[in-house]
Amino acid sequence: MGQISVRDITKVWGAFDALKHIDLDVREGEFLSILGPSGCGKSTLLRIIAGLEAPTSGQIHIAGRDVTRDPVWKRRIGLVFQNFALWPHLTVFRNVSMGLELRRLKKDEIRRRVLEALRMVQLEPLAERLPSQLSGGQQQRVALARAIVLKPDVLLLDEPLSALDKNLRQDMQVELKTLQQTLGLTTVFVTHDQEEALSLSDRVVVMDRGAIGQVDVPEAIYNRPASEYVARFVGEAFLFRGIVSGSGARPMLRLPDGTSVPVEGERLQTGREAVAFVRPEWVELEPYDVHSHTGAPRGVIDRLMFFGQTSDYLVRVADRQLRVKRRPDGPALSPGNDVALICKARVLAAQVDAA
Amino acid sequence: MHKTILGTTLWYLGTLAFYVFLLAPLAILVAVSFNPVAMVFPPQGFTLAWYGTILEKPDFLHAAFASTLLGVMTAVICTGFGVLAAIGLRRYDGPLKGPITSLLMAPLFIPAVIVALALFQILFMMGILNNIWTLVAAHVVVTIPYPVRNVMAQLEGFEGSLEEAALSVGATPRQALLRVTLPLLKASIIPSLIITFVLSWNNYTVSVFLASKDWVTLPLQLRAYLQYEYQPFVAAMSTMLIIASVVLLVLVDRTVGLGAMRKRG
Repeated sequence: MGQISVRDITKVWGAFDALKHIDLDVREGEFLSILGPSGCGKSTLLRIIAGLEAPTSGQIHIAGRDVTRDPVWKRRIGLVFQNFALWPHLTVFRNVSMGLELRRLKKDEIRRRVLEALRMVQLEPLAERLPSQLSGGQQQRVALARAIVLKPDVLLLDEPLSALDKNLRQDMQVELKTLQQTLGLTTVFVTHDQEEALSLSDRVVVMDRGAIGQVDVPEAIYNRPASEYVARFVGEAFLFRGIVSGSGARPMLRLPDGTSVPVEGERLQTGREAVAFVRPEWVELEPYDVHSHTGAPRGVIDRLMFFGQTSDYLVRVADRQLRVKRRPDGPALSPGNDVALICKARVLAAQVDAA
Repeated sequence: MHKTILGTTLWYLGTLAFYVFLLAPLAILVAVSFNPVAMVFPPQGFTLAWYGTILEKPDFLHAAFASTLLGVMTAVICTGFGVLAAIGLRRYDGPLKGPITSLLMAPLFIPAVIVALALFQILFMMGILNNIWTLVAAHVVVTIPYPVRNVMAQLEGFEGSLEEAALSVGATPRQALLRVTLPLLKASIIPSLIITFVLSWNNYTVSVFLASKDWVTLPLQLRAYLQYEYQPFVAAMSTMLIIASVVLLVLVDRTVGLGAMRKRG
């Protein structure tokens, strides 16, 4: 009932292709994030789904209905904006009730539904306040209540948490996710914050200059990115080139300096050049030992940064610097130490054939 | 140290002199209006008799009625146009945006007497001079910059998403305008109404060209009266005009001030 399908959507502004042939299906009840840097077209795509922007070509279906030509007010969507967009001249109650009033529902039904929505976001006692008398987090919850009170087919959120400070944002993430699951609402969530996207979503869409870079579950986006762009955008990635070697069961990547790193990846062909990457927490550091570490990449610790639960080690390897995230319970290491880098790297699927 | 004290003193003296020059004539006028004998200063006593005589001059009562009617019509029509123009100009982003804005602001820079003379010539040629509508139209023309500028300034700081949020809960663009945009624009609409009323109420330059004998405004009637006689009665009339303007301008200040506070809060 609440699924969205985006069919071959393009948006052109003059000579600029804001969106290039976007195809996307959001499943019923799914929490889908659209992730990308500013200017990648993620907000434009959301505004086209909402009907605030008309696509240059393509179709949008919401809940099985072609809404491409429908204006916003006929689309049965809930929309939450980055700046909350609460109406400053109306109380919290009236902000939430506006949509129901426009539907000409009976007074007592309006009252019942508004209070129910406010209860869900724990704002019932503040119903008679003005938005200016609320904190940022409370304002955001009013915006949420205003969107869900109409029982929309889909909930669309445009960077709703980015105006909040960090602690509040984490609380709101939990609340938002809980609310979404309770209501089973199909949700599209636009953000530029990769942690937010990975932690909240059932699936993540990574956008790259008006096109979709990858759509997958968060774990796959992080561990098995489809391209260098996705690998770099959803986390820190250290990329390097090498030649695929080793047998099929234990593939290795031989680096230019003669050392080798175990790798994983699809369609690896021995003898082909490939690009692989590691993330800071994939690498284990050991004091370098000539006998046990023969053939493994070797580096020198440049700098150590303590963060409490983990420490970051900046390791210089062949004139480049690699960040390694490490729990402090391993062997003691300090700047200047020679270390061996023990890790399994991931070959970027997109680079295998291109090499 | 001495230097700054001297500077401050000069600054205060200058400011004082400025207000004395500005307000002294008005103070004298007000004082004279309570004077029982002819137009002399200082007053020889105190009386409200001249205010009573206003009621005995049908010309002035009619002029006060004409000015009030003219002021209200000008304020409503001008602010109405101004709000529509400002909203339109915010939404429209074509090549004519600049020229249209300049045109609406032009009466601020063109001397009113020139606008009035031009209007007089055209309306005379068209033969439609002798009615209140031409006078209202002329007053609207010279006061239109004020509401346009007020409303545009408020719209500048206006989040477009406020209207989009209304659309998203099912409001048509018209309902969004009525329920969200216009109520929020109150902070610039009310001052615009008052300012345009005051400007029209006090206007002499335009009215002198375009007022017909049936629609003589108060400033015109005062001027006409002064040509023949000079009595404290005129001072009483003028004092009432001053009081009306001051009261309305204080109102503007209050509404604008309140609007600004609400935005900050």
